[in-house]
Amino acid sequence: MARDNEEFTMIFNEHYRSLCRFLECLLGGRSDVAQEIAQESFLRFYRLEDDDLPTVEARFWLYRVARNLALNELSKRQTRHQLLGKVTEILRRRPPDPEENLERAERQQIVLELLKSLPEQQRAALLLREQEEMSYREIAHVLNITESKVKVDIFRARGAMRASWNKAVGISS
Amino acid sequence: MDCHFTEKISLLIDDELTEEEAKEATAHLSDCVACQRAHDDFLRLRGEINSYAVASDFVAQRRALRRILGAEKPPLWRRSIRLPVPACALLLVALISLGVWLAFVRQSMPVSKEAEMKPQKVLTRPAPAQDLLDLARFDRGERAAIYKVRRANQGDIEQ
Amino acid sequence: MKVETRVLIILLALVSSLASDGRFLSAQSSQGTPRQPERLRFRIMTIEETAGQRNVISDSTVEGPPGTDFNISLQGERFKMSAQFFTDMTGRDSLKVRAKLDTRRFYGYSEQNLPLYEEDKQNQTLDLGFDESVVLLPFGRNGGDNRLKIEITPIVSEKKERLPSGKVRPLEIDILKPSPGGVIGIQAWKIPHRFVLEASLLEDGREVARGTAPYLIEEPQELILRPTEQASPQVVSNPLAVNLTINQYTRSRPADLATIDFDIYRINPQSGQREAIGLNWAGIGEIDSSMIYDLGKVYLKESGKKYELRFRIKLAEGEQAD
Repeated sequence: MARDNEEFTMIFNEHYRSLCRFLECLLGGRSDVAQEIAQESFLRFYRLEDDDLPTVEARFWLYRVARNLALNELSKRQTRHQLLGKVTEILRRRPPDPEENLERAERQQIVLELLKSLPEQQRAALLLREQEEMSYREIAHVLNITESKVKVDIFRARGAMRASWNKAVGISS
Repeated sequence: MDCHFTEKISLLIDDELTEEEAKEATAHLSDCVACQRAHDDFLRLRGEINSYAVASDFVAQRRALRRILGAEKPPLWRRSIRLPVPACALLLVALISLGVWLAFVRQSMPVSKEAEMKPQKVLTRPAPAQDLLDLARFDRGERAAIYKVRRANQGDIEQ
Repeated sequence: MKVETRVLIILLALVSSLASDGRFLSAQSSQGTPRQPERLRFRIMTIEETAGQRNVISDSTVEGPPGTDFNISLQGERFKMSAQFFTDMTGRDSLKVRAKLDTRRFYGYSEQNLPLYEEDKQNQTLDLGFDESVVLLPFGRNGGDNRLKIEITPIVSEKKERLPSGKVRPLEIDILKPSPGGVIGIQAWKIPHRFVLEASLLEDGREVARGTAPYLIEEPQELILRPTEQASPQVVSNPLAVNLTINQYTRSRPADLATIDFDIYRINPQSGQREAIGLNWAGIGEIDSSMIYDLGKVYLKESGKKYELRFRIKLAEGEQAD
């Protein structure tokens, strides 16, 4: 029996926006593609037989499928080598007033650029941790890797992002 | 310079250390400047990543949900119908009676050749969706085109 | 003429000018010369054509001051289109419409069962009169029995630029007939389109070459930096050009921001050929402020001097920051 509409709507409303955000960050800000992939993931979930997947597993299943779909998109994009340079330009162009806050949109752009400079698996692991607040065990489940790999990936991702951020704003770490 | 303990700081902020390890890490943190900086930087990055917001387009979200539910209605034979037993029995009796009556009527009336030949396709043709414009019927894989026309002529006189 | 009479005449002239909407300064220039319309309306009709029959699927209007931009989006299950239209008045009866089409068509699954898409981008510039319309065919020209067509018709609006309260009249989108299921979406916005870019080559902080050119948003253009009198022979024999695009304009405080992308070329003075020395440079800067880029690694490295490229983006006359 295919999934009940009421139950599906509840899961959709609970996770749709978070999944879009995860995908948007994973894909470097391509919101339209993120929404498409999120919808495709939910459609596949809806088609699942009830018995195939318990509802408590839905979240992890959705993130796993969505991330796999996003990988296809990522492989199509050419790697851009000057991402960090671009971030540095954005940051260096700011007036040297420390009290002036960066505009939210610009900060988002910087976060995206820094995330883009990470290897995809590290990026996915870090996003699932920081945005979705998943435990290492849950992340391992979604990404189909070991917990120790998650541990290493998250630490490396943080280290790389920290270094890029500090380099860009001219702070020695 | 980073301290060799920095990885533990990463685990500490993720709540992935045992109670004992967490105590040790916290004690180290109070003494080590490099780890304090790493700790602050990791939390700041968390804040930056976590504050990333997607545009709140609830209309698009509702539309997406409707599209999935609309496109994926399970076929009739896969939907469960829950009727009380007396209602089922009544329905069954009514159906049998209808079948018997139809058989009787058919036998008593001559069937015309024309009616026999007529293809019964109307019911199998999918009805156009009431609420969605079916774009697929226009799509033959061609590239979009744009040009200008003079308005006096309603027909397209390409410039 | 007596002094009192003169004063009286001047006062009368002032009062009458002020009474006529307070625009005494512009009144003289506007008399005799035809004025540009204060507001334009774009009627956007989506039509299904079947064997010559026209069936209007949706009908909307976008209205705003000259320079209003809009986007038409089409969201199907397997086909998506975003058509951005940047509009500019080029005369009293003519418009320049720059269209940017992005389409995305789902065409199946890969061996790994992942969705595959066909993406297409097109840019077109049309000079349009008010007796003309733009026709957009999202699915191409030869649609067979039926085809989908979007007609965009510019109309001069009778509405004034400002509301009776004196505030600038906002953009308006009227949905006369909504598309079924909201498949067709329309957005509109108004941002400055025309800019003046000033570029300078600095040698140890001193300007040694410069160039100025008008720029349109989203239109790449080359700007040559001509050596000044202070330029050294080395700079004179190594002139620079930048190919720059102002690709975004963001409302911000304290000043609005412009995003630029550019490539830097060294021009061979004999052949005129361009040699790329910096590609895909980018930045965000405030309007009317300097954006400085270090050329140390790409230009006259052995000279021992510090070379920098400075840009300043200004709004062209008539454009408003907010």
